[in-house]
Amino acid sequence: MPQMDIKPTRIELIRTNRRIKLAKRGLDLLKMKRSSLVMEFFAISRSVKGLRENLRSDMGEAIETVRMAEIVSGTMELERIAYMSADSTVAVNMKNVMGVRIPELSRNYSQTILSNQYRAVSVPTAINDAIKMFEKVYVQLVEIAEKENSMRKLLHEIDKTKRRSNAIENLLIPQLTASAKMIRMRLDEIERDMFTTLKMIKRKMERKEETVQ
Amino acid sequence: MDPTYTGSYGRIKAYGTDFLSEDSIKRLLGAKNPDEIATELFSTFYRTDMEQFSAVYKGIDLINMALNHRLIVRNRIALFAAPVPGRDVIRAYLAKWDITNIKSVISSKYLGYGVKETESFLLSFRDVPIGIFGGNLTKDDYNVLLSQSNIDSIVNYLSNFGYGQQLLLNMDRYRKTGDVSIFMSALDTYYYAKLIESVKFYNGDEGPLRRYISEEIDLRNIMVVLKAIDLGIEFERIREGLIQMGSIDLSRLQDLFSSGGIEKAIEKLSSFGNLGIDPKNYQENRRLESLENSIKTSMYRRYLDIFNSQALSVGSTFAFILRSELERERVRSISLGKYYSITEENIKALIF
Repeated sequence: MPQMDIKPTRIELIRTNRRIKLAKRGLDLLKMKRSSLVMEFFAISRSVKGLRENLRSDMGEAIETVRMAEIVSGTMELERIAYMSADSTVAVNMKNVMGVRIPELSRNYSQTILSNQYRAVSVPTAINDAIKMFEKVYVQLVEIAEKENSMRKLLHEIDKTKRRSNAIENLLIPQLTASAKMIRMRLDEIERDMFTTLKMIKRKMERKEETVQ
Repeated sequence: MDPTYTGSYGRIKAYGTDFLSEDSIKRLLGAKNPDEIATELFSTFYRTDMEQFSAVYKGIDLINMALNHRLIVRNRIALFAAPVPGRDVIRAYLAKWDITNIKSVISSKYLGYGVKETESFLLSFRDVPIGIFGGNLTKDDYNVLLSQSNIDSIVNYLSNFGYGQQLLLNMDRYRKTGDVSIFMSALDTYYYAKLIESVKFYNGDEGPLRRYISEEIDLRNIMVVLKAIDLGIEFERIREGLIQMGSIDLSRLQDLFSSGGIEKAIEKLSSFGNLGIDPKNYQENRRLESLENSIKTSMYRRYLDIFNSQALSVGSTFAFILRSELERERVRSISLGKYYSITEENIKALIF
């Protein structure tokens, strides 16, 4: 804010002081929001880390299970049952965390032929074990995708909040404080000017009275 | 002693020398990759099978083709070696290949796959070829089945072979629900019913074979119950899928289901007789397949000894079929296990 534009009036000083107070309150709120977002970010990142570690071992286990199923039941049987599985859909909903809209994924695993009843009765045990493992991995993958996306959004919001709070803390508040200081100085100077002028007028009036007497 | 089995026994014994020894299996297990296994197999009687396919196939595919070819040859030997009274049961047993393939044809038709897709999936598959000798359906029959426009016409065509009659009984239910799994269960039930029916007491020593088939049904039923517990579905939903020709009746299976959890069900299973359950592997990897494998291993061990000791009976022919299936499974497990870099411990758990 160029200091030339500032009107050195008492009302402007009151307004500037109000703005400083508001900026400080906003800064506190932004800092609180940033801390909450950081806490949320770390909570999600901790769970993602755990999930990723599990995913790596579960994926290895799932691949080994499907290979074992291929050995035990044969490729033909495995492919026959794989043909029966239907496509699954993932719907994206939004939830609000501290004003940030983060995605919430819901799975819909449509089972046409490959129902639980069919799996129990007609699917070989080894292939059923493989299906079970891959279902687990699939759920984990969707969960990780959801959480990593949330983390990305949170990170973006943390960055935005940080920039805003920095701008308020390092730019807006010092500028307003400087403006207030300048207005106060100008007002003081005007007061001193007025005081001196009044003194001079008073002295002149006194001198004039003395000469008249 | 029935003299009609003398020739059969002699022929089976003569071909019985062709099986791989335990040392050969150990050498295969010690191989680093499928190529080493192929080299090792080339020095055995598999050489003739491998030579037939070596121009087209290599590595793991060559091993699979050789194993499948040898199985077909051995099934043919078993079917021709058996005298007329024992041929029915062997034919009924080998019909399991037909059942597997019919299931594939029905599934692919249901899912709307075209002839071309299904054909490549079925006919040129590297696994056991369809129309396997000993089954009732030939390659031409499968071509006709694949060209049918819908499931109804498939079922109609199959009624010429007996499978269709069983399927026709379930046609109304399929039309109402649109669920083909009804046919799959019906085919399994039909297969076991025919198998049990074909084991006639001709010699009087067919008891072990009947018991073996009953135990195979028991194993299937137990695994259905355990899977249902694991998947959290009600007993009523699997009741129809249970085959009631085993030695464990429906009420005991229901009792097993009501155990509440797999661990408790496994504990209960120990009171069901000599099933040879080893829950150790299941406790480690939580896979029901390892439990099934332990029961299967115990069954094979017990019944192979019994069948082998039945010199002049269909049991000896059956021992030959089981040994050939077992050898195929073992070599296949080792070669695929090495191909997929599966740990030696897991391969050993698979090869009985």
